[in-house]
Amino acid sequence: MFRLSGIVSVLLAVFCGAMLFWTSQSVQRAEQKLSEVSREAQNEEETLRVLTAEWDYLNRPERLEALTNGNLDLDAPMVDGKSIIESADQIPQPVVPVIPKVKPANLLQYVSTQKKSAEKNEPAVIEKNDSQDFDKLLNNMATGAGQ
Amino acid sequence: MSAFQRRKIYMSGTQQTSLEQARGRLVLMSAFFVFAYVIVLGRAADLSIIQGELQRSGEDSLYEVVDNQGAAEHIRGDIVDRNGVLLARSLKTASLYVDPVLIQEPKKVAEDLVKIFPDLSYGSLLQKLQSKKRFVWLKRNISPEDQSKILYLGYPGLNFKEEMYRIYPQGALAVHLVGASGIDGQGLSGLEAGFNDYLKTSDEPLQLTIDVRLEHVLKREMSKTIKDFNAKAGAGIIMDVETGEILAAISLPDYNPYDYNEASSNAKFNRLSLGVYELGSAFKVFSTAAYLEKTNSDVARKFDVSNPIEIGRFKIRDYHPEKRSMTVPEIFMHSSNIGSAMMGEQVGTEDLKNFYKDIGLFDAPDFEIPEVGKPLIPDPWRDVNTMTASFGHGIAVSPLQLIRAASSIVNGGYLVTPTLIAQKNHHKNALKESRLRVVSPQTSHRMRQLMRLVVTEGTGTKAQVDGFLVGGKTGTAEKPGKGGYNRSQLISSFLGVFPMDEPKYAIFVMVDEPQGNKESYGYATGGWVGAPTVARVVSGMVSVLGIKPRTEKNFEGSLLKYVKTKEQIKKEQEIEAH
Repeated sequence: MFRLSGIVSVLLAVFCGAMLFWTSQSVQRAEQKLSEVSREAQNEEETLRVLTAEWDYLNRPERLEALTNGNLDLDAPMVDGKSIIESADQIPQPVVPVIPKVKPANLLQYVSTQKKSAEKNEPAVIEKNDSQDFDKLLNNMATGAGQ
Repeated sequence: MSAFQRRKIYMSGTQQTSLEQARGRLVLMSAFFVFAYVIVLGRAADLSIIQGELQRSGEDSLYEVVDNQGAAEHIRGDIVDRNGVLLARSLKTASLYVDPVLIQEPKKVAEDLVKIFPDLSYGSLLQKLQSKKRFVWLKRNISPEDQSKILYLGYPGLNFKEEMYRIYPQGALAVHLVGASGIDGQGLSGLEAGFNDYLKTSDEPLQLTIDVRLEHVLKREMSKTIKDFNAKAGAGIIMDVETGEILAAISLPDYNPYDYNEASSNAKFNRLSLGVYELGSAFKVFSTAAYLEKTNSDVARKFDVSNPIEIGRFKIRDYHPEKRSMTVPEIFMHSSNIGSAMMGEQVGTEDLKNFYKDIGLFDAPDFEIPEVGKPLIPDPWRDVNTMTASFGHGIAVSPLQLIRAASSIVNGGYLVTPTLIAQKNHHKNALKESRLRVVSPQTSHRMRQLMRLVVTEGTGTKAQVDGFLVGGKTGTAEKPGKGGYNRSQLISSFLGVFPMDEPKYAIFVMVDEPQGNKESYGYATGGWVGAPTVARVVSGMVSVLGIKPRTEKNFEGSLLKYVKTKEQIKKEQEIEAH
């Protein structure tokens, strides 16, 4: 009953079982990972679908027109109801912004400088911060009074 | 001697007692049970510890409740414009349903739900929460924000089912082309209905020929005209005369595609391709082309238009009678009904009918949306119909048919097919070769000159846009009512084409029952209503498309020798008086 070959075959069976168990666990883990990744990808895709739809919604010609009319002081150059531009060649070429050709991860080095220039060019952002600055000022006054 | 060897000897004995036999069986049974328990234990550890850990790490707390049955379904395809701007897309949304059996405190649940959805009534919610069914819809297609609020409430029984919701980012813009779809994703009108099967199965978006920017320009200007002239309705189309592509098309009033069921039938009515109208003088483009084709471009011939034509009970008269003999260019630029009727007579009934048939005025056009109307053609067609049809009376066609026929005449003489679907690898030359010729290049050239003359000297001077060589034809038609035509109810239109020396775009605008205003000195004709609208549309178009203005050469110049100046006419009248 307990011959050496028997013991070896039992051990072999146990080893095979363990290997099988390990493999099945690995497969299950891999499958789990795969479904997780594909679900994430699906979610990202769905998010993209929503965001592009929102982009096109926000860029409706009607809305852009209303925004430019309300916020920009742009009018066609006219004199007595006639355009002063006689030919389209007089219109300067639009300036195309230069975008650095780098991967997103490398863009971080540009962030700090870009932020500074953005702050300089956008008075709206500064206006928004005004209330916060006012709070800061109040705090400073309070601490100053304490001192 | 080891224990194993002793047992071996012992077990290999020939005489076994029944006690030993029982012992052996017991050992075997115990081994079997121990083995079974080990397997069960192992499996329990696997399920509870190993796999449980895996599952916990993959949980998504917000969306786990969402029924994922819809994930395998095909998402209805997008509809985009020629630049890829979205016109329609299906997005996943959650819809709220309830299993009333699981609701413990219906009153409290209803109160909380009303706070989240103020548009739902407390009473009907309570009724739904207390029903005996196991599935009741509470609200379909709710926002993610509302969904998280409901999840936060944490009531068992309130569940979500994932559904697809069709969104139209451009709203009512181009709604008569794109159409609308129902809550279950079935196309109800427009391309949504015409391409229902394609949208249901294809992964590729449906790309249209329209440009939302031009669509906006056209809508803005049409709306302004309708408002300024207090009109009932209107329609406008911009077509590429070479390919037949519709770049923009508007039918007003329009409706919000989300409110298809609530919209009035007046707003839903497609005036572009379904409505047919007697469009008046714009038809002179076709009768004049037929005349030029028949007489080999004889523009010098004079017609005496001083007296109205009477045939039986019909009387053909001019709006602004010139009371003299006029050449073909004069008849065209002053839009003389009498002259056009005479030219139609010259062409002959059969030839005019055949010509109208060739340019697609007799049949409903092949178009990609289901809303296509059949033209109203006089039956039987008598000789008097030939005369009235020469200036657009007694024959009703859709604006789509009219712009198609006009494009086919000015583009060099090739019949174009109106289309809304962008074709990849669209080779214009290859298309032109395969197309049908309807008028000769000479006639096409003469027609361009004549249409330019209308804008520089004739009834359509308000369509002039400096630097863009606009040409066109005005149209003013009385609407048929009870007992004849109603002089106070007009359909005023303008058919514009530019640039006239090498036509690229045709624009047709039609306004239903405009009322004259102060600025127009009470006039509500095509020249006062339609022509300025087209001028504004052209101004908008050139800035959107970046078309450069050019120095205007005297394109219609060779026709001017057939046109008498005011001084010449005055002189002649004085001589006659003497």
